[in-house]
Amino acid sequence: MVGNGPSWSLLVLLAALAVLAVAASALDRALADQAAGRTVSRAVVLDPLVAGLRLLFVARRSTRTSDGLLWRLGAGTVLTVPVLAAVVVPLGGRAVADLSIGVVWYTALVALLWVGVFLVGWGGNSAYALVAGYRFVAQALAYEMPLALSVITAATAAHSLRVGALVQAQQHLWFVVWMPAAFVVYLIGALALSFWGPFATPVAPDLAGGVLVDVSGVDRLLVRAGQYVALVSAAAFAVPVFLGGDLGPVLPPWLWSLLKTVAVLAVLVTARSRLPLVRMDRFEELAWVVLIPLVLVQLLVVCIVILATPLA
Amino acid sequence: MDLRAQLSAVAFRRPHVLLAQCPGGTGQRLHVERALREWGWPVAGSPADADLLVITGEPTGRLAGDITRAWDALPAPRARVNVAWPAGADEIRAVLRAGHKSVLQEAAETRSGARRNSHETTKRGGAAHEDMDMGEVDGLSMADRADDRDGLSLDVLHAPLGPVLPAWPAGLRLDVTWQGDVAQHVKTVVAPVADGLPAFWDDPWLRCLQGECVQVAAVERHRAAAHLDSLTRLLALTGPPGLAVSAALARDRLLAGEPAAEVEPTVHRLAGRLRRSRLLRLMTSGLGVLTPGQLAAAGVTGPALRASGARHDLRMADPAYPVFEPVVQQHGDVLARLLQWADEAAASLRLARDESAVLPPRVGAVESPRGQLSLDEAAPSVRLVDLLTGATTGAEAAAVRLVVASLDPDTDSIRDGVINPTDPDVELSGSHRGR
Repeated sequence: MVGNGPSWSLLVLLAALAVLAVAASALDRALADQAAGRTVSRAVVLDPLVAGLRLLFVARRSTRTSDGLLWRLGAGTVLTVPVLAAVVVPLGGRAVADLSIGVVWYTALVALLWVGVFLVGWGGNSAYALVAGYRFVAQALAYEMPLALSVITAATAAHSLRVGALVQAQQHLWFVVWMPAAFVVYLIGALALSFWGPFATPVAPDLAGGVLVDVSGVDRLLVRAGQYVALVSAAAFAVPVFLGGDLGPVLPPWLWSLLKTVAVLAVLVTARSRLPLVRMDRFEELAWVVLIPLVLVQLLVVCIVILATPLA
Repeated sequence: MDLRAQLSAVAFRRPHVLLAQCPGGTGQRLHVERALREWGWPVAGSPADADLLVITGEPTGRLAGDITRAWDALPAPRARVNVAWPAGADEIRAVLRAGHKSVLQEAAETRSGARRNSHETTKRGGAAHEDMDMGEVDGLSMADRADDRDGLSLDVLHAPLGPVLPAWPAGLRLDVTWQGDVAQHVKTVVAPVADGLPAFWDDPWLRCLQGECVQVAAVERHRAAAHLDSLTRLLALTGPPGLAVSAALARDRLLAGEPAAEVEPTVHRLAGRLRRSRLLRLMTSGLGVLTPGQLAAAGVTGPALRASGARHDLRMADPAYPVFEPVVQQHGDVLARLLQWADEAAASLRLARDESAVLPPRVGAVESPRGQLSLDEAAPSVRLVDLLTGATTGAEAAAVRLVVASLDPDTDSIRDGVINPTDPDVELSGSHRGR
């Protein structure tokens, strides 16, 4: 059913990530326009591209005694890591690389985002960027365990780490139905890993933009685009893991994958304007003392169900 | 190149604006913010993200130097406009459009090879030594080390907060000594208002004290708008972005003259949503607690005092307000001050329903949005500025921002020489006569 795609599937993945990232940004702008009382025109779909064009025109800044290599490398990492992580996500039954350890691949790669964001904060030799970089590290410590455990819960139910096997195991019932806590924790982790919405303290206005305080031009474009691609990547990964992948009645499989991804992405994007900023000095404890036990209890329930029901 | 001009015209059709607010520029700042919101021009969080620098009010003291530093940090293409007083809404929009044109012109002209690279020192360690063997790099010395509150030896960084910062009082600068992200030592510097510039938020009460008769409805609408303005800044830092925009919209509707009865439901809904938000409560309760004793000792009155539980409102004893019940919160933390503004705004709009009531001219003190206002005493915001050093020392970065935003001193009302002269950590930078 799910397997490796043809050689041009990487191009399809890149195109899909780009289109969905632009769509996510356009949705966010449309919501902001509506909230501010401006008329939402159809041209809002092109606004993210215009913003990217602007960043290509803006001069690239440098600061004194910055670590140029690591600074620019950090910005590049924020964009490339989510793309690499998404190679295990199947679209309509075919993934670019349906690795036997697909789940671990994804989780490990999004952990590289820590390096990217922190280097953007550290490389510029700027006090507020450094503080914001450390904010992201604290955030990563908070979300990483719950996120990993939620994905492990799904993998346990499927008896496999291969994403294709997770989709196959959901033929009769999607995982989101009988492990909702894991899904909710996954969504929280998705918001946190892309420092979006309530978890945007690393780029928050209180530190004049956080890690982006001295970043302009191409580097800013890389980080911002990387943020959206990370959101899309996380939304796309939620689909085979919790929402049954490409399974669905009438429409073609690839359309189901796409629609489910768009639905999760819409939920993640709208979270920004509705939720207050979450600071780690209050949330860290909550993540370790509430979210981890919650996911562990969910994992226990899943294990009991698996042991109780005979293997199909 | 024509193609470059066309592409840059598309790319910069909505320039990012960095607002450099100076004391005395509140009226202009409100018009600018409204124009930016209507046109969809984003407000930049830092100079690196800005194309257009908009200066409102008149830079005094060290503020001119700080604004020049912010200007130097703007990447090309860039432009800079001054919105001076007096200027009406249309003039301000014309000035902004002229600035936009300058940005477009520079974007069309600058050749890619000649991109301006700005070098900005944003991390200075310790004291600047001229010694080469102190481990200098590019003229910057290594950061000093000092013991922090836990006795650990940490790097000491001197990085100021403000004055060109989003959601920040105009002309205020906190010279902070950071260790990690904890503010170990804070020095408050305020730029005084230039001569002749009005105190926007205190205007109706000043007129009342100077012998004019003002309508209670107009006064209470102005108070509601002032509280919504403070609330917008605080919500830009904490709370849901949607509610920050909602507060700004309500404020602009009130300032544009919309009837209080039409804006009241929106404000009431806003206050309700803020109170019910559990995540907001989790994030802001218990932060920046100021007890009634502390506030009374500092001479603070107004919403900051009422948010800590003290029922002190000059309107209680005022015959122009026959049945007046002051709005009071508990705990005196950032959340309490946030809810206090929202609840007081809603209460003011309820009071503003009565169009006939009149506030006769009075001698003595009146209750203005920041506190007790009288002509022969220092403005209530001076007391708030005095509080800042004590309330922010030892707090970590986010808490410092939230405490300042929750007190929100109105620097328009701080005239020359009234800052507490005995406190070495509070300073009025320069005089308005010499810039």
